[in-house]
Amino acid sequence: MNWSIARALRIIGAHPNVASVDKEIVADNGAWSVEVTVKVGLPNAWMAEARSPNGVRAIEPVILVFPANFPLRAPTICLRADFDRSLAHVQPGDPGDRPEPCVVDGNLSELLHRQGLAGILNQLVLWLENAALGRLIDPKQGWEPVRRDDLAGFVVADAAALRSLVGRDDGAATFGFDYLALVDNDGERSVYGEMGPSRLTLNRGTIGALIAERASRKSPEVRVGHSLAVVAWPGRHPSGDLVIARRYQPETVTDLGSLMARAADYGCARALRDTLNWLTTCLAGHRDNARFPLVVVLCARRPFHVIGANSAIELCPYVVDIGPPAFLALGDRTPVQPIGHRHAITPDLLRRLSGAGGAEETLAWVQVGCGSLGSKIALHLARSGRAPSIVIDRRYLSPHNAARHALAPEVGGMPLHWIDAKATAVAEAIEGLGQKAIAVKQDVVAITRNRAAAKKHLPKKAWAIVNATASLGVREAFGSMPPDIDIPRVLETSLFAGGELGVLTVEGPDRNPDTLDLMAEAYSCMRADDALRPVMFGSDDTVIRQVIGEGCGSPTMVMSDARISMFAAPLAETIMRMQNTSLPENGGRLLIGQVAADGLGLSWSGYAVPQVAVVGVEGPGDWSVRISARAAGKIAEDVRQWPGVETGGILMGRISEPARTFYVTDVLPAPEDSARSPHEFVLGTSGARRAIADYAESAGYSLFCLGTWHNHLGASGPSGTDRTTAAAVALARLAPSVLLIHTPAGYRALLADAAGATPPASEEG
Amino acid sequence: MVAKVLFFPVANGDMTLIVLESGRKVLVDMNIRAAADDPDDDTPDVAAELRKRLTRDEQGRLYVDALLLSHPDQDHCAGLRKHFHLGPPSEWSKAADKIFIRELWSSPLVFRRASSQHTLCDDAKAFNSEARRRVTRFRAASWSVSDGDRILILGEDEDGKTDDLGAILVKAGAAFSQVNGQYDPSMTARLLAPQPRSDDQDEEELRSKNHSSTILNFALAGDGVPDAGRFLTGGDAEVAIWERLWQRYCAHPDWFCYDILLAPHHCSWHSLSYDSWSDYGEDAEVCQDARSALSQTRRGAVVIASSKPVRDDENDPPCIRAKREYEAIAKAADGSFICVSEHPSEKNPETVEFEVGRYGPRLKSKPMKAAAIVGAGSIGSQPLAHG
Repeated sequence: MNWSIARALRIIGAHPNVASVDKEIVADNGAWSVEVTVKVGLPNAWMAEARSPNGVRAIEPVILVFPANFPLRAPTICLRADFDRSLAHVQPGDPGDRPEPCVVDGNLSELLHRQGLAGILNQLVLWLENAALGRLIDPKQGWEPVRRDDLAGFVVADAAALRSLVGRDDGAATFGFDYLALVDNDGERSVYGEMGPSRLTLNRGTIGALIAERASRKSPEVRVGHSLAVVAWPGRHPSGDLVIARRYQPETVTDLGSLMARAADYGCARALRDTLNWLTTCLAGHRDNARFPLVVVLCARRPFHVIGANSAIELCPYVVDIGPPAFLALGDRTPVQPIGHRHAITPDLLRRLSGAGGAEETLAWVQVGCGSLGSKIALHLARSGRAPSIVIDRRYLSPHNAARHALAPEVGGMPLHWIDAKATAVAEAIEGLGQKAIAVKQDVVAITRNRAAAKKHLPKKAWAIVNATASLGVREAFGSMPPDIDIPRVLETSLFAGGELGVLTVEGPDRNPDTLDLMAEAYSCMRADDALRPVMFGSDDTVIRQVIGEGCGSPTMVMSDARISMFAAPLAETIMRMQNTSLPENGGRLLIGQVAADGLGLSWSGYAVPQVAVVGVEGPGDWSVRISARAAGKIAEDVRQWPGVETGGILMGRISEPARTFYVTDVLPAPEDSARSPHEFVLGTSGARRAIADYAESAGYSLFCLGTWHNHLGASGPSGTDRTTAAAVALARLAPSVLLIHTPAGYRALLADAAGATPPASEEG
Repeated sequence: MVAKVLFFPVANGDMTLIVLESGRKVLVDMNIRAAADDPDDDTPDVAAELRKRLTRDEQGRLYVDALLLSHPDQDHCAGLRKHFHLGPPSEWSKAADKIFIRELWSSPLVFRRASSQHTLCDDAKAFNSEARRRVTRFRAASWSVSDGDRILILGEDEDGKTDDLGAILVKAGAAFSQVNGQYDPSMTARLLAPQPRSDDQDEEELRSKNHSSTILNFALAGDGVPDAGRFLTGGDAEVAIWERLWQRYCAHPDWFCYDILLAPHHCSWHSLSYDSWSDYGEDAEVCQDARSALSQTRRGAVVIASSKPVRDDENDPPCIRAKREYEAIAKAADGSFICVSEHPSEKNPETVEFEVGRYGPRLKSKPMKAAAIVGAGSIGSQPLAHG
């Protein structure tokens, strides 16, 4: 077990809701799993029963599975096997597996990098409590759509148009359906298609022309055809009240019988049955004996808006094979499969997602992240003949990307191309601009950990890597490269605070300062700037403090395409200028841009960031300290002011666990009651805690106390006193600390880490 | 909306904030010690904790809708003058930024002469003069009294001194749903004590020795469900008070019924027994009537000790024997006992917060904060030697 896991176990043990951590840590294929019991805050009366009426226990066993690349990637959370799977926000999975709760809307690893393991545990506790209280569906966040684990294809449909069919009375309508049908090696058929825009009137005379299927000319294994789609919606109860489907249920429809039962739950069974009966009648005389996919879309009226939509109508599509003469060959046992719904791209969707309520030689460089900002920068540069030679992004385009991606879906036909890999799509667009880029559809974090992949996709000879992923995980990965993998300098472009701030960091020669040094420096500069601080750290909707937890905020900031372009344009200009001249030759560079109050102007501050001093830390785990020029300057000045005695102070900055590095951005002076003598420096306490807390709070805890520094008058390393102090400091906090020593012969450093000092449980035995 | 009941960590003292479903806030007692206001001291900064949970009115004043002082002892009113605005509303100053008290809830004791046995601390004297100021305003202006001048007198006084206070007087045994002059359907509070003054001199002396306090049983609505949670609070009231209350009202056990009980007098044995813990030890006997008054639990009820950590020693309060008795009472309802100074840990006590929703009260879990991991630890907390 490594120190990161050991530290994680200490943090878990210190969490107020963790009742116990199992001593037995199980190793499995590089991963480590540990059983933890979590105290769940139930109402008094349920505490008395030790469980909630829906079966959540006051003490819940939970298994945390730490992947081999923790802390780059978050642990997986598994509940006990008999935990109720029918609750909302449980990840899809096989009935035999332990259920995994969906504790955060977004990426758990991003939450890990943002709030640490404590953030994940806090979310887990909240999730369990909400599960017990029946609050997993949060009206503010929206209704959780039915969880559907196994889809047999998808149907593209204009959601707004379908929802507009739903009125006060129940009903059903029939539409055309153009599709591709694929049969895989197991004989499983999947269907992909798009619903036509207008309602059809069916009769025996017209139906024949509406249904046909043939083999694709290009790929004979693909069938191409047109068929029908039936949409059924709910009406009113006999009392006159609207039928509202208030009960969350996972997908259980497997055949026509269960489909009709589900339709009855939603209040649209009558309309659906009438329409299917009429279809049967119309098809009775149809002579073609082939079978066709019939799409059935059930509309469920929910008590409040569905997540990701501005409507309370949830669309639940299914597909059933039909064919004459029996129409539904097996009656109620005719198999029915759930299929996914893909939005047809509509103006409504785009308005909503944009948050508006509506040189001559080719320069090889790598673009990582082909999302909204990355695609714009890549295409700005491609339009200037400076396209990246390699584009990396593991994600795929989905309809919401149309709101802000530099690429736009094409008109006409089925928008099936809009499901391609982002890297492929951007590479194709670049090709359209007469240049060539290699598309890499892999996880860049994995590439940074694989020598051969890194050599191929992040070649050292490239001009630079532009990281536009907005991923803390990717930044950490670039900042913690294995020593045997060399990559070019990294430039990072990021937007913060809902698009109020933009940052460009440019690594120095030999990657010093590196991308993590520069971001720590960015936090430091923003903390010290009266105009930037409140924007970055002050309000509720900044990225640093963005609430991912209660109510599950989206990890993507809501902002318009134009706002991203405000930053994308000058960022692309700056990158292009550096391509045309050179990268900085002394140290790195940091640019921070802020949108003016009128929303029109953009002001940029530039900072030259000198190289940092890198010092190895004595102690387990191969840690290092990187000391900014600012901090080093203050330390040197303090030592000059106190000749003949030892002096010291408090280190402030950040920690990266993947990089096992302390980033010292600043130092706080020693408290007034500190004592200096030729043989010893005693760091006092007066006012120190307030000063440290004020500093960390003013930086939104992006910068915090790292440990202490003091000097030795001779070129000696850590003394016995230093080691004793390190041990005391280590025990008093969960995060590792460092004792930095300034000597006439350079810096020395000592690790203070209880996770390292105490052998992990499994190694004791 | 849920209601909330919060117990601040104030060692041997009381400080409880009730946030009604309507959003109105009632503070019961306070013990904001000087050490709590010192940033270099480990004592929890309860004033800051309280302020975080209050809102400001249109004039920018942080306010509570009502402040109840259960009885005028220092450990129930410390910090009143420093943190709360006293005097006419017009004299509230933005610079001082003290908490504005819309309505004062006071016992009729403020009308009595200072007792020879009981000297009042300065904060208690200030409370009394503020209460008298507000009563004078009421007598002069009656219905035109507004925020910052309102007062509610909980219990009648001797010699008809409170007879003219009809609209602002609550009689013992009565229930009221009025906060800051407004009817609030999300709360019904029943006044159990103080009882009217007795003509019997001995009886009065006994009451005085037993820390006569205001005893209220709050029925709180949560998520639209009336009476979703009950909170019984009784200041420092001791055994004779509880014994007589049970004898008087035992026909109405529901009046004593609770989901949350604030163990009287910081978990003192003297609220359950006439025998001294230090004299009698395990031989001390429980007064059954007082115990009855304090054991009308609802399922899963929680007993809160707002006291220092409870040790197995001769001290009282808090008293280990009292803790055992309350644990037995809670256990009979499959409930639990919590000492505020030990929650979630004795090292870092935090505010104990209950949320009252449709399913009744529930102890809210504490998220782990960034400061718990990257806080300064021992740096700044203790001198650190570097050789």
